[in-house]
Amino acid sequence: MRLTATVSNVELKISRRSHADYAVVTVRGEIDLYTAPQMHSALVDALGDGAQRLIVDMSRVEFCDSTGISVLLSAMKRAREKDGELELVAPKPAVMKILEVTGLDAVFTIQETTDALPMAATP
Amino acid sequence: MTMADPDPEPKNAGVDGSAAMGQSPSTAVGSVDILLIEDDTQDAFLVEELLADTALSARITWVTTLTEAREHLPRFRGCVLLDLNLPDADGMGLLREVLTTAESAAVVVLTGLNDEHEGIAAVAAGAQDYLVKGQVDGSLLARSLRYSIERQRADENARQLREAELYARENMRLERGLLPQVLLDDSPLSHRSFYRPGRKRALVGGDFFDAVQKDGTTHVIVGDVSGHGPDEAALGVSLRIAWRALVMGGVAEDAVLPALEQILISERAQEEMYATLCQTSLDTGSERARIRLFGHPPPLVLRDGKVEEVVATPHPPLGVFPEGAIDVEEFAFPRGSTLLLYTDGLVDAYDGTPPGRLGVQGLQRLLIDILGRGTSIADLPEHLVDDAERYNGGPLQDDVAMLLLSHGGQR
Repeated sequence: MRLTATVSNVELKISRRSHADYAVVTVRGEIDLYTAPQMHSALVDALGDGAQRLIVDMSRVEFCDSTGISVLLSAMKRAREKDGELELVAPKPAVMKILEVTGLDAVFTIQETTDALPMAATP
Repeated sequence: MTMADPDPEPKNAGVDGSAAMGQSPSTAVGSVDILLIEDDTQDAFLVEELLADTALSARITWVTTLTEAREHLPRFRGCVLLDLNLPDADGMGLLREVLTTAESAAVVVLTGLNDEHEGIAAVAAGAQDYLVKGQVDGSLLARSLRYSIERQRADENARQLREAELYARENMRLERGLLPQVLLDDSPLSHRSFYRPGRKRALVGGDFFDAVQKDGTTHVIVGDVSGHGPDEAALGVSLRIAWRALVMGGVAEDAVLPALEQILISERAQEEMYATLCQTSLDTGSERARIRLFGHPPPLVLRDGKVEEVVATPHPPLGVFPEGAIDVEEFAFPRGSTLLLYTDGLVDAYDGTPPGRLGVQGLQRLLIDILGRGTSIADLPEHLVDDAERYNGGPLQDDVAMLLLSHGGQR
């Protein structure tokens, strides 16, 4: 297992735990016009490094605008092209609301709680 | 090169004009970076000495060949003092390379007494000034350097201004395509449209709207292409015109949006582009309208100071998973009421302190307040955006498009 952390912006913090065939990407902050490109590269990198199953921990995302939704959609498409999947874990009500408005709550695989996160391998 | 100085490296002479440090000259150019490209050691020392006697604070980097100069030129932003006769290059060819490589620098050419015509040609070719060796004193040299840098800055500003103007004109063209004159001549609906670009003005968004009355039915859309930039805006224009063409061409209402989705898929530059869209259709004489919702926030109905969100099933944005015709839903749109269609830039505004956002509830709250103040429908959009900006603590991040449609005249 590898641990990579990127902190480049006060508004969005992204870290990733990569395993053989899946990766857990933890996002913290607000995903908007400015920070969405950062998340885009993080998700693309995770997929490029071989993750089929991309698990995005949304439990600490305060806000996600349409640009952020667009990034999630494109990552999901890329994952599915490789017979993989993108899962959103524990989105907050504010983020869940935009998923519902955009009719995407039925499109994304959404896990309601962080219990769905795979256990981190303990050292 | 012949050097009295044993140091072969480019020379950073500490000529700070220290004699005049106390009396800083009242000019925009306080201290000047100079790249002296001169193979003659004596001439180079002369330049340093002349500058040392002036009020100009200069940091001189001295190189003796074009090859050496190339290491400095691309990032250099001060003034290049250039001798047109170097061991490895000369004349106009040399000048042209310096001018194109050091785009942000001012260039002053040094010529010999008998080559003054070269100096004149150099200025014609783009150098800011020329100086004739042996006819220069310290104050003339300092003034030439200062003026050259000021002139270069003015040129640079003018260039940036021209670029900004081109950009603005391009954006205006796109905006005209995105936000057209609606076609509502025989419609029971009267309209008021509004658009305000977001904080990132340089990047036009893909918000669009349109309204067309055709064969006794008034169709209205508002939409938003995901992302920001010319590609997205151009796709927005294509979609808006395609929609109008489909409606005016008499394509059955149920078939318009599936066809539009096919057009989106065939026209988009990248597979990841999609569009949110809301379409409402009202038959003349009816007080119920049909709605189709694709990833877009539902419109609001304003009536007697009350504000209600239209209830409709959201479908994914167009271009995500094409699903063909959908079940159409209806909502009450009685005479005397106004329908507000909008893009999400409005509801994404902060509601006071971050991270709370306005959302649809906040929008309703603002609207009730504005209507309660007796504001007319015509003045509503400005008031609404002004209020949203106040809660946001400044201009909204994203573009805002609004289309208000009043049934049976404005009240």
